[in-house]
Amino acid sequence: MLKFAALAIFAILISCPTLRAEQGPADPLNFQRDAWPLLQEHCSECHGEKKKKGGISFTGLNDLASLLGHRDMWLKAKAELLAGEMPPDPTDTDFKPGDRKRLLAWINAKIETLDRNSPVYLDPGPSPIRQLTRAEYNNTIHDLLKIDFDAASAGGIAPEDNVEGFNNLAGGLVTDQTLLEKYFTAADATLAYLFDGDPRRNGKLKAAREALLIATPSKELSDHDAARKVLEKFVRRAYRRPVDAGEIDRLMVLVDASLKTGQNFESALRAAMKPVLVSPYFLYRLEDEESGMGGSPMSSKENHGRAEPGLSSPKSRATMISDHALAVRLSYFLWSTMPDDELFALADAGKLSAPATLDAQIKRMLADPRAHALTDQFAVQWLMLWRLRSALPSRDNFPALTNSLKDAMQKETTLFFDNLRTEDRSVLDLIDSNYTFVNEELAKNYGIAGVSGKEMRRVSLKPENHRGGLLGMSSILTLTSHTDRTKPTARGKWILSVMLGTPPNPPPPDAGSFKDTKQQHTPRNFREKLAQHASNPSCAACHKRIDPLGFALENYDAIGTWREQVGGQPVDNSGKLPGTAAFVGVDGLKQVLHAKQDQVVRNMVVQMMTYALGRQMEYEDELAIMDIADAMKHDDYKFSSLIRGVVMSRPFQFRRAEESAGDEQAAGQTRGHNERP
Amino acid sequence: MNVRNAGLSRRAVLRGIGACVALPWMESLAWAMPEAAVSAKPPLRMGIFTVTGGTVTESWVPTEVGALGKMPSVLRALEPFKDDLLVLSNLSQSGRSDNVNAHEHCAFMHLTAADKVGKINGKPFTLVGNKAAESVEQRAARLVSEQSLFPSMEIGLAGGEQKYSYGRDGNIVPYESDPRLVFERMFKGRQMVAPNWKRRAGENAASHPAAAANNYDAQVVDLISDDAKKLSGKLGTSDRHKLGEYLEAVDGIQRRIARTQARLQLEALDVPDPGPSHVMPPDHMPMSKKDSDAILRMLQRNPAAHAEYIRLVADLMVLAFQTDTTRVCTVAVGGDDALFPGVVTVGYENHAHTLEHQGNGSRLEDVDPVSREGCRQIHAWYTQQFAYMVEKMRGIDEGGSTLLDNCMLLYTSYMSNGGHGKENYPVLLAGRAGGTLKPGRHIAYQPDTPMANLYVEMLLRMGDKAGEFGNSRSSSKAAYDGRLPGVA
Repeated sequence: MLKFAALAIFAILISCPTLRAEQGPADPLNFQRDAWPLLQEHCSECHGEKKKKGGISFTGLNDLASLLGHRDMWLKAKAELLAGEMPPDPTDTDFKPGDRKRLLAWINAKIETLDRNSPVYLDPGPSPIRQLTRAEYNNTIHDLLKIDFDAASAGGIAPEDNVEGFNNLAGGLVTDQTLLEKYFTAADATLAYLFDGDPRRNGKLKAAREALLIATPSKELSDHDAARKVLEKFVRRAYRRPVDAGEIDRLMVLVDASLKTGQNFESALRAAMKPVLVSPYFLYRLEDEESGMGGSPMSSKENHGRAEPGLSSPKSRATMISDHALAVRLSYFLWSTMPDDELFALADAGKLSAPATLDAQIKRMLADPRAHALTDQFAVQWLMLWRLRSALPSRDNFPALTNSLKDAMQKETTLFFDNLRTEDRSVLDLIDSNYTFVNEELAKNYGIAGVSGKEMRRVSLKPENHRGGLLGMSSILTLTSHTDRTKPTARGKWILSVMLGTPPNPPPPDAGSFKDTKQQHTPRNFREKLAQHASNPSCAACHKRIDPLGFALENYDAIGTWREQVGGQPVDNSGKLPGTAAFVGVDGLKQVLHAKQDQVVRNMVVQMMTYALGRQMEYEDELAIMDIADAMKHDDYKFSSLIRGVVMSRPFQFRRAEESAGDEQAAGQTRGHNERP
Repeated sequence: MNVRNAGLSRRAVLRGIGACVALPWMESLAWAMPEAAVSAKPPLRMGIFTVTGGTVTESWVPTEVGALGKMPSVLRALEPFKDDLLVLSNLSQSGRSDNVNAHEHCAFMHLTAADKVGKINGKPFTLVGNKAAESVEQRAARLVSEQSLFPSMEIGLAGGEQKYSYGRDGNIVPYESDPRLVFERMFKGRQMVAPNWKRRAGENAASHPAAAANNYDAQVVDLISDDAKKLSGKLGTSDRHKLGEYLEAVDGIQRRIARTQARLQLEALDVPDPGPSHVMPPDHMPMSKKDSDAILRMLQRNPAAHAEYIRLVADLMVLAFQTDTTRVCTVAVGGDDALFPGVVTVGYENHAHTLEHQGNGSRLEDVDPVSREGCRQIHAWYTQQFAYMVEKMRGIDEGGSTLLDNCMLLYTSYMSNGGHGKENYPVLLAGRAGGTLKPGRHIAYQPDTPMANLYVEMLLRMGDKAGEFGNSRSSSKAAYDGRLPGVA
């Protein structure tokens, strides 16, 4: 099977003039000339026939099939090369910067040219069904019923864990009996709020009832018929897709039973609304054939002009999602809530996926206040801001650290991120900027004069303020500190995980028991102590990547206040990373990050895609990631270019259809559509 | 979409013909009646009280084996109860791990005694051989699931890295951290009453025909259950698995509705003629979400609030057993990230995790003695909270025996020490397990005896027939034929 695929691609390569294998010196596809000698000389000692460190071995790469395979290996190699981690010996002067570039170029070219024509590119990756998160549930209840009611709290639904950085990944969200019982309680409380409150005293509630009760019983309209009308609209919005009559019939059984026992119209209606609010169609995001929306096989639909060589592997059956599903993906991505009437209308009319319409909708949605969810949900999770509240620095050690200061810290970062969206600024501002947001208390912590009052406002920064970008923010500096001191390792880990996307591995089990091997001299300070610890070979490999990044931030104390001295000695803020020149302080660190700008941007794309798709990135997503980063480069790294890139990407617009119990026949047909002529 | 298609459940047919009275779950009432109804004495309850941070081994393990003499310093608060305690030493875990940090490694093995634990795509897994490893209290819950209102209860702080409980399919069982929600779940629409075990022993299940139930919730559950089943057929394998969680939850609610009906009738008979003990809601129960949030927020930094919280959840376990709300209850308390000013009175550091790393590594010669003393103080403090619960259980008369007599209460931690230790866990059983334990002693087993052997002993007492659990047989350190000789 694989062989067949490889042959097919080989056929494409030789038949397509622009992709011919040998095309002179600039041709990036020449493995024998551009990649193999470098791998042989600099990598094979650890990743060869004998040693296969990390399970990686560059052997047996002698034909197209073997190059096409090993996808994860190439991706790993790319990440290591980008991060400057490999080759590991910085003194290996034979490995010149040009060599790194050449090898990277070859790997990228391999992904570009080989994979773009292979089933890998066509595979949009998995599209798991997704449960609403607590926040999404609450927002959805709010928008569905137009009430200000904290339904999740009323049901006792706890915030979910962050799994691999985000709380909205399909793999991390679990339903169990306790949670479902809480959804029952929340549904009861929500309906009680809506129906039992006094609309004469609460204008918002009055409006909410009127919006829901589009029909009420009258001489011409029976209770039954009025309830049906109300339910038809309510259920369509709750399920976020067209509903068929049978589904309403089943709910009407409850209405009728209730009416029969003498309950009034509203009670009867309420009886039928509860099951909707605990239904899988409401609590999960289901798409297309799963829910009866009816996705379209990709060849039957306009496909943004992309060339679509066919697929023969059933695993990669890809269908473009329906407009209804697209509306749902869009609204939960950008707003963390259900689609609004405009999106519903466009989906009903089948117009949403037309590129111009979609583009206009992205603009509209980003300008809408609901897009604050990108800050509240995405940024707060990505940047680990949610940890600030329980950060360790204590008021005993830092009297300035009041709750209001903590609030201001949090707000600085969220306002900054929000501002990237509302002013459509470059995401590189996160590395460095000449502005930030403060109020009086925070400005005092920063030593910025002339700010008074509790209101947060934008201020311009001068170099002597030592602020700008995320690394100068007290929020980040505090959440990576200990009760009474900074934790350079935690700060370094934060930079590696959050900004560079290369989190260090968990420490080995015996880590932390600072054991003296050969009694070295007593450490003079924490840095020396850590250095001794890190001289243990099993610790050193990671700590030499982690610690220098954190030590560059030593001018900031545990709550982010600038300092020139620690314990009576000048701050030692110099650092050196494997494979890079030495750098000093936060400014030096920012230069390092600027030099690694491609990696920083790529990581932002990965994070945003992960959040948008609710799953971790797979090899199949690599081309989409590269394309988005590339498009951002040509659009000044504007925030909107990142969002647009994600929405327009193949993984966002298509879904991989798994075989299901009842659709063998349908599968055959879909495959038929996709067969290459 | 037509309701009446093929594969229609019998339930839906009943509803279709308008027969709402004869709800099928009514039939289950006869077998759903508690076994205790025909048993002459109060039932056995299994409780687990687990803390974070392991312990300080030399201050936990008694120096002598046999009858308990003067208690070591971490256990000193239990001195008055030592006739009811069985201290077991040298129990260890040997499971391997993949792609997790040391805390997660220990936490996932803790109650599962798995061969292997780890994470795939951020999701924990626990394995024995190639099968998902269930945690001990979930297995116990399955054995007694129909005998009380809830098969089991999981209360306290066990989120994040500390995921202790796993169902039969490896699904994570959540813990409820909010005491107010635990209490509401137990007693919403239900009276707080101590069962009269003597009277119940004389009752015949069949003499209580089911009253007509409020079947609205049952109808709602049927409706969504049908939705989910239909939906399931359209999904691919992994999505179907995902929806399976929902279906199982719906199924659980269906069974609970049935159980609740049976329970309420049984308890209605206890109200005029209750058991001898007095039932009280816990003191200081938070009355609103705001109060709950405040105590949850404070406890990591404030030992007084922390102690109040631990006592609250301990009270809830006692109350759950006393009212026969459940027979299997786990309370997870403590926090590796908590601060202990005032509890730790040596040095300047009082952050548990830092103290654990500096003072509680497995190599005694490498540790900082001041930090170790800090750890010891924290663990002596945890024991005080546990002793409060033991005392309370001993004060509850169940009609000739105390609640403690009818309990098997495990006090332990997910690590053996703060250095992520996996050898010689702190383990003690409080209570007489209805006469199936012989307490008042310290038993030292051979080093590395699997913790799983303890779980086998506990499960056998809960009625398990399998006779093995976790890696009790598959561990390379398997010992004593997978049992713990001498506990009875």
